[in-house]
Amino acid sequence: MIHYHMMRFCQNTRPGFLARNTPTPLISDSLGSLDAVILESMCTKGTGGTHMDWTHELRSFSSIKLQLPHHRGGFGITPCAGSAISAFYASTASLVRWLGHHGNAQQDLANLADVWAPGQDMSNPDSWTAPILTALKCYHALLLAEYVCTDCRTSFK
Amino acid sequence: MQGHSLTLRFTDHSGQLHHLTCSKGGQQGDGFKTVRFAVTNHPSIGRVFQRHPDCKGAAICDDIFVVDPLQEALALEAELKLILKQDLDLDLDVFKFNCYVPSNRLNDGHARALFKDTLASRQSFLDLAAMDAGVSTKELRVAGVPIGDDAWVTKFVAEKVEAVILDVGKIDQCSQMA
Repeated sequence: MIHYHMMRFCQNTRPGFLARNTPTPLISDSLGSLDAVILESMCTKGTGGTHMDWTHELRSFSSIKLQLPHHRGGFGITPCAGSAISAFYASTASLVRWLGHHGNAQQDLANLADVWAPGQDMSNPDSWTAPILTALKCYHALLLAEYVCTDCRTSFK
Repeated sequence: MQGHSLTLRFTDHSGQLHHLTCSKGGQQGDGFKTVRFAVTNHPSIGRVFQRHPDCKGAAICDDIFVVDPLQEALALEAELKLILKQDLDLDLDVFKFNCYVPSNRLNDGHARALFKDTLASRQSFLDLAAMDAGVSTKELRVAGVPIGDDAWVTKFVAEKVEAVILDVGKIDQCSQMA
């Protein structure tokens, strides 16, 4: 149990910061390796190493069980590679929202959008050329197309 | 340590006992330490930026990121180094003091030469020159986030993840001993 908690809360969460701030294609291979190491460690601890004799199907099933959230009958070890897209999306969307709120030069603060994202209209994704913002647009399209996400607004603004 | 010196005692993953004598800084795990540290140094950093109104800056605690033409940015950095030492007895971290020159026209060698020449142009930059800062046209780390070309970002993340994988192995060792 201690091993499980240390793995879940102390190690599996560590790449979260990088996942939030780095476009996923640049980190997915590394995070996939980490997921595999954590799963292997959990199985070794849980079975005393006898999982090495399991079939490929059984090992895949155990990986799914370990990575499923509790409310779906799993052990709740969130896969780092799998959650990286939503982590990056949520973080970067928050940045866009924050810069958009501070994009008015009449405010006491400087026009932060103009300072930190010059030439990028926060309310108009079509104007985005900065790599991090174009990555956000890609993930928005990907989440809608392949992850059954829905856009709560008719336009992405 | 809030003015109190103490000895920290901890046992590492291999069972080795360590004693660390501490008299400065904060206790690991003190949740409010970060806020207290940020609130304490914010006025000093803010005053320096007020004196350089054309410089753009962002900071988390003492991890400070300045965007400006080299001459102006170094003038701010030189003053910041002085003020942080005077006000708070803080030293700029040599390892983290880096200059990023985003450019398609300069390579790292050219950027380093430009940086060196600019440092030599003013007496007040002498302190910074002694820090032997890293200069790059391809890579920058801001508050732990890699910024730069894709190859470097990928390598940076891979090294970070390797460190986590190493620690997973240490936990396996610990739990075997327990």
